[in-house]
Amino acid sequence: MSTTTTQSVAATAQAPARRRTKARIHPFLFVLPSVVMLVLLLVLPIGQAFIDSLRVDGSWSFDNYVRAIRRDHLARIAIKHTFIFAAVSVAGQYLIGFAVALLLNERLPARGLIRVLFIVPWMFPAVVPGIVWRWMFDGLYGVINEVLYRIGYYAETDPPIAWLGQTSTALPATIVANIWRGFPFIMVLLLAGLQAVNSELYEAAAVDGANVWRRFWDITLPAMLGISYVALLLAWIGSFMNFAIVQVMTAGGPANSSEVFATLIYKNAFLYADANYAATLGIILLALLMIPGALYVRSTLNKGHA
Amino acid sequence: MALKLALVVLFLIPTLFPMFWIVVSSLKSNAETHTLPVTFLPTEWVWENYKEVFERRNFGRYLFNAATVAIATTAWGVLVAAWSGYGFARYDFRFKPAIMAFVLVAQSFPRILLIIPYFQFANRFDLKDTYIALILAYSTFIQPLCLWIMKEYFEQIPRELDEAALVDGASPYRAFWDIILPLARPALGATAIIGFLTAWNEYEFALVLTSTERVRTISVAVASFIGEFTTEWNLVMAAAAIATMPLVIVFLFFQKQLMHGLTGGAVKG
Amino acid sequence: MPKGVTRRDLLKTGAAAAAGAAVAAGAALVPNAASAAPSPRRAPYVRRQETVTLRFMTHNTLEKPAGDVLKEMIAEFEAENPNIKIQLDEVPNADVLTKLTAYAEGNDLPDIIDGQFGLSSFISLNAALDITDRIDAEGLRDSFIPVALQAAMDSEGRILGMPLYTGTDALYYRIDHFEEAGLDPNSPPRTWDELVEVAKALTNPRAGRYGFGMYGKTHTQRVIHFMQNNGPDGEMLRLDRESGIWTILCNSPDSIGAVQYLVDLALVHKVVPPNVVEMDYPANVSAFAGGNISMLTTGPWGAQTFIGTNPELEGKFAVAIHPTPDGSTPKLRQGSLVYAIGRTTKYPDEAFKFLKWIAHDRQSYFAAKAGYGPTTKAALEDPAIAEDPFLSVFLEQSLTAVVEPYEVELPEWNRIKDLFDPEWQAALIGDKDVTTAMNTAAQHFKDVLGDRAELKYPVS
Repeated sequence: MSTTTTQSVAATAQAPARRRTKARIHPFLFVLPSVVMLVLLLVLPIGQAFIDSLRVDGSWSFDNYVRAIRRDHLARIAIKHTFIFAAVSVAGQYLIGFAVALLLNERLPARGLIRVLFIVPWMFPAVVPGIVWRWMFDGLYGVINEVLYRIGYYAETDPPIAWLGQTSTALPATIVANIWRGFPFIMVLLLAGLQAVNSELYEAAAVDGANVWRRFWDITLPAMLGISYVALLLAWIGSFMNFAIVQVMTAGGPANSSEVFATLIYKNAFLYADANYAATLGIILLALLMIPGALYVRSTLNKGHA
Repeated sequence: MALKLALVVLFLIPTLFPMFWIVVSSLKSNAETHTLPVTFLPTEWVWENYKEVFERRNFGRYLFNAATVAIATTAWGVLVAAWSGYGFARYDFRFKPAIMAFVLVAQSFPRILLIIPYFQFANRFDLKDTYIALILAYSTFIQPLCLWIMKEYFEQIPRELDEAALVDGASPYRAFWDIILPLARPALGATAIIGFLTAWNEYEFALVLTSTERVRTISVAVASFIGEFTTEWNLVMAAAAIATMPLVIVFLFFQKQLMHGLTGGAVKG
Repeated sequence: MPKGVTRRDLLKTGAAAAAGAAVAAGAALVPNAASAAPSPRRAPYVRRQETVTLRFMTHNTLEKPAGDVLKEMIAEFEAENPNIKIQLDEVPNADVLTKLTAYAEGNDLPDIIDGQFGLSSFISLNAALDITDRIDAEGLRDSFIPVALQAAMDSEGRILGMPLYTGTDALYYRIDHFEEAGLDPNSPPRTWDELVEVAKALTNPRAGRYGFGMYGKTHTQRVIHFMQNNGPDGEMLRLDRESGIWTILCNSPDSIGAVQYLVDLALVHKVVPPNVVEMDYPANVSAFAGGNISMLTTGPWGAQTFIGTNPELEGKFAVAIHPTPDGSTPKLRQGSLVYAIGRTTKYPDEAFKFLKWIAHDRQSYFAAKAGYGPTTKAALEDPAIAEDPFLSVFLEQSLTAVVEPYEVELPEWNRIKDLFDPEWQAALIGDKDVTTAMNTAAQHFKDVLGDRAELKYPVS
């Protein structure tokens, strides 16, 4: 890796040549460990997957991509579901996360304790959210149906709803579980952002007689834009790739009504022994996700170094 | 204040209800989990479920493994992220924007497809069924996010501080270690939490990269209660509670430090 | 129940033997390269002194009660063979294939591998070692029940593993529910019409009780039991061994009629839990044990599983022959769990010894203790098994049972099954009419198999 030393702290224009040569090695040594790990354990596998995706029966071909785009009815369904799953999840996680962050930024008794309680959903091992929500949504023994009976939403004679057993509610149920699982992460990021907002601005606004809504709209929201980009991007990636919740709750069913890209990739890679096609779907997923990621990176890099 | 507290409670109920339901279900008898109508509290409190979970699987070992892997992932992953994050924050070099962009985008590749390459990697370097394989995998997963967090944080720290150290004749490494790193404690806290939770929670890699209970972590143990012929929901829930409780307790104990880390050190907008 | 001796004898030699013989004949014709090569581990006695550690991948040790029985057998094996250690690689049931795929792709298979997803996945992953010659060298071919061993044979007749347990489905029913509903527990339904009537009488949704349980989420291949008995073309796929062509039959009138019958149970007669489509195998077991469904079809492993789930159930349920449209003798698919030796093993001798121990030598003990269907002829003679009232029904059914070639030999079977399931589910919820659903499934089968399959019935 070569370096340009124009903005380097270590090497300045008047530094002696010996020092400069040495300085060139510093950024290299700093950046090296992370880059080595990422190259070995991310770049190489992704590259390999890309090569695999172009192999069909031992020769080079685009057929896997043609198959995914033109012939595989499940890929089409899964893309649609993945977009719905991710969009609704991110919106829900962001709105709830923002609301809770605003609330927790206020003076509250036992605030530390309350904050910890709000990140409990994030502490469960990966399979547990799916397990517990599946059990709560269960059509026979589920507590959610029981609550609906108790509060009188169902009449005594109504049959219970099979939340995970009908095509109209299976995907929404997994989204509910995913919002629950994911909002604490957003909440934490936004809380950090809120604490960075200059409190003098609020005081000045209060002196000017601005109401709560105005203060939120004029001060909080603009200050939160940057962190919101990051939070939304990370939430989008997380939901778009979500596997554990859908797999445990519905495994993509019933009748493919909650099939998402990640479960489809899993099935091709691990149940159908079709690794090359699974790699193809993975590359497509990566390409779809690169768009928001690249936009974000461009905007921050331009901002940071303009 | 009353309104605020009411709102807190309103949000807390759905947030904590699944936890409550795990605990309640874990204390029912197996028959009661399948009794209609559903009971909101166990009619008979079966504490033996927890004993049975520990007897059926070596849960102590699984917890120990999970803690070992999570702590090591946190230490190694965060150290690497901080070290390299400093490099990205303080130096400009060719391809830097491209590398940073790639770092962010790389985590968009489905992890499911990394399982087999990692398994092959572990085999080649004789790392199968070891802590190291898991630690390497998880440190890689947290690398992109933690690298960004650390880089952003370092950029907030005035360059004059390291320059002063360099003028005093310290190497950049010493400046990083002695001056800058201690200042970045909040960001380290945030990345540490992300690393710890990632490693503690992960399932698929723990399943594939380990094959004996010597190394296997808690999430696999929980999943193992979902059986071929029967699923004893009371035991599944007890296992889930056992897997989660240590974290809740740790967080409650260290809430001040951890929340400070999370909220003070996360990404700057 | 009349004495089963003649039936057992029949089972050992006749019926399935026809099919078995055909496959065995095929085997004789196939030159076997692996066996011709000298075994690399024959000579050195010195190495026998070393302790060999065998990696045993299994989900069974996590199950109750089979797990404890299996662990006992492992301990006995280690005591008898001090130079062999068994290292358990326990995998949750749902992830057996995930793990096996990773092992196969990494070229590092455990010494003994779990065939939970059927022999077809061993074949598609090239995971199992051919043990035909070892089986024949020890004369084991005839000691297994033919229909059980068939589940371990590929299309060329090579033996790739040994069956640990086997069975067909029969009808379990709750005696106490029958009595409550005023039905005679000694005359369980034999015909499909009777099944509907009895199920209706047993159903009481307000009490959370449904007459009949079905598999809506997983194990949907149990639909095959109904297809097969509804006419000559009632099947998923039929293999023509001459041409190697699969005929797609899931949309035959016979198959559609069978699926329609099951869908009507759910949608017209409403004798099935309303959440049937989210009910996997354990959910059905729990519902039966918990008293929410009164009848359920499953294999011999059901009995001990029900009792394990709810100990109070002992004596409260019975097993009857699987119902057929007209009450005639059922023709059912026989399912087996096959364990194999990993292709990459360094210790084929020791692995074979251990596999033989659990699947063959100690088969009677395992079958009697775990209550799973026995796979060896010797086990059939074991008094504990011969006198088991539950097992005898399954043994009787096994006489006419068949091994479905697609479940054993078709590498794409898992994909095909996953293309069938959504259509079955859509029909079961009422989102699609049965004919449309089965035609769609048939078209998907054709798309996957291409030239290797043909549609017998038009798909539109």
